[in-house]
Amino acid sequence: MTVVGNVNPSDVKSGDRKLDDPYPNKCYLPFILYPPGMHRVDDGQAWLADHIDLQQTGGDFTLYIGIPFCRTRCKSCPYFARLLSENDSKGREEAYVDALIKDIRRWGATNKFATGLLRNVYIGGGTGSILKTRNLKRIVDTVFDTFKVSDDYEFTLEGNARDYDAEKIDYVVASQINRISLGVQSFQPELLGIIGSPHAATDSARIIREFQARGFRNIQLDLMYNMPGHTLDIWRRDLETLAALNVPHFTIYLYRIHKETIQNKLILKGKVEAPKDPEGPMVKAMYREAVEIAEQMGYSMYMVDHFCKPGYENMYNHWNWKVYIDTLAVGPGSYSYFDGYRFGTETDVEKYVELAAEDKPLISTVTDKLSPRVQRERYVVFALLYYEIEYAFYENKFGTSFREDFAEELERLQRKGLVELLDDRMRLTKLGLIWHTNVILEFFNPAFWNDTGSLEQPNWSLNGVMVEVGAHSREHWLGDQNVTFFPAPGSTPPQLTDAGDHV
Amino acid sequence: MSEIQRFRAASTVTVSAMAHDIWAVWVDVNAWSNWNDGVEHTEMRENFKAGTVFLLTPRGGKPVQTTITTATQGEEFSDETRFPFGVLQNRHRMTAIDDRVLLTHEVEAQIDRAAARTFATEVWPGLQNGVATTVANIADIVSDE
Repeated sequence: MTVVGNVNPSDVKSGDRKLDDPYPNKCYLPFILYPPGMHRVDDGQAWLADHIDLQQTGGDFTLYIGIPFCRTRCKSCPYFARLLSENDSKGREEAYVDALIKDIRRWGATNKFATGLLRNVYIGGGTGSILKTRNLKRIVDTVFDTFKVSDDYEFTLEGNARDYDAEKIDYVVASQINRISLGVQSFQPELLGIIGSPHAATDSARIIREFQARGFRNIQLDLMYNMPGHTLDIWRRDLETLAALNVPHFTIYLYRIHKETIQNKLILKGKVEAPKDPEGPMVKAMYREAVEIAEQMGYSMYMVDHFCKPGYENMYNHWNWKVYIDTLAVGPGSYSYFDGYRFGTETDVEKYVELAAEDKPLISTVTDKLSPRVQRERYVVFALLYYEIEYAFYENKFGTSFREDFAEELERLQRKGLVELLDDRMRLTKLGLIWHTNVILEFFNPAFWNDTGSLEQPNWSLNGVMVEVGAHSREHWLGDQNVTFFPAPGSTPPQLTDAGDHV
Repeated sequence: MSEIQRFRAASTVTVSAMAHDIWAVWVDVNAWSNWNDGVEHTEMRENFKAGTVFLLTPRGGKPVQTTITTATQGEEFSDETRFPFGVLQNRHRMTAIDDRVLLTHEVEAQIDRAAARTFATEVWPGLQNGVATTVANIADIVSDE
């Protein structure tokens, strides 16, 4: 039996819902990029010069490289991506990679990044694997030519099985890329079309086996559950295929419908079946069975909905979220974090290419300098994906006490039974794991709620759905601070008790 | 005198929508019956790209093999079905104009002259009428309005 912190994954039966819930509305986002709200700057180069000391000596950092292209946009994808045709008659891929390389070199020429140590590289998007092999090689070579890379680095190429041919597989296996991540979603053809995935059902397993046949083992895949038309039987078949493939890492994501997407339109117009209630018995069973099968196969759920065999944790998340080091992100729609600022690059690919040619950065969306308090909140928001906060690590990092900094929040969370405070750490309870995103929202700074202004900012990418969360009031997600439990949907409203904290 | 007789019909609508949404609807071949009233069933197991063959069952007809002949993501695709009496081609195009998209469906049939008269009276009217309906249906699905 794999036990995660004090959470026994097989006990995570969110279907065993009590009459009362700790919050009025459940947030289903798998994680929150914090702080979500940012604002626009017109002159990114001037902003950079005024706010960031690039002459300082660098420390550990991670590098995110965004490839903003997809062959088709998945029907419920809320993120930024541009369609790139296979014939690419206008040479957009080539122009983009030229710009990306200039951008990487420009950052690498600063003292901060020339003297820093690159711990982890992640090519994502969009679709990282969409690039032609020669362009992929140009980027990988540039990274290693430009930065001092840690000996125990991890370099992930995220993407889609459709993009791999023998030449690309051979290159990746022989290159410094040492981990691939595939957006599989499902192995079943009846679902892939409905959600609009670019690959055919047989592509993922075939490509995974081709990598494995060449001795490349560090493969992670994403699966989704509760897609339109999804059944427990189909899900079981996916889990059986997963078991047969014996990859060392996988994630499961609840399929979500985002309101501005074509999938939402198709559902509203009766062309596609709506997903089932995520709190209903089928979806609970899907989650429970995935966890159980993962346990039986020797996986550990080392962070929320992330499963791995020993030694195969996602180290990009580890460095960014658990160790909490600087992130340099290049490419449109990517977000960096260092010197107490979070800042993003505009989603306009052509503008990015144009400015890169002039050796200028395209920084268009920034936060104010995060206060020490917000920087600590940011750490907690991320680290809680690993279920716990170690007091000593926190104090060593920030010079303050976690229990004192968040005394009010911890009192509420304890009262609701969502966390337990041990001698050396705070841990999520089983109930806390079920409500983990709401628990994370407890650590939001009050100033970031009701932020409808950020909804109007252009160029949101991954951040967009997070901004929508912050546009609500605190009460929407978390309810009255003095109320401990709220009636679960469909339950009989409980009677007022002596404690007076039930509604 | 040519051995082939050509039939052509086209329809265009302007729609307020994102090109990637239209593309997502096009490439979900198994759901073409959502917007093409002449299609009863479709079954594609491979990637949507030029050269891929799939099964298409016309409404009231038998399954036929259809081939994707061109596919330019975000711009156009075409397909072709070969029958004993000729070839049927569909071409779908979208062109962005400011914040709107010009959506076109064109159908072209190249029919053996011997079968042309029957085709013209029994098959073509349905295909011809279906072209406008097809683009209207897609516009209805993807429209922001």
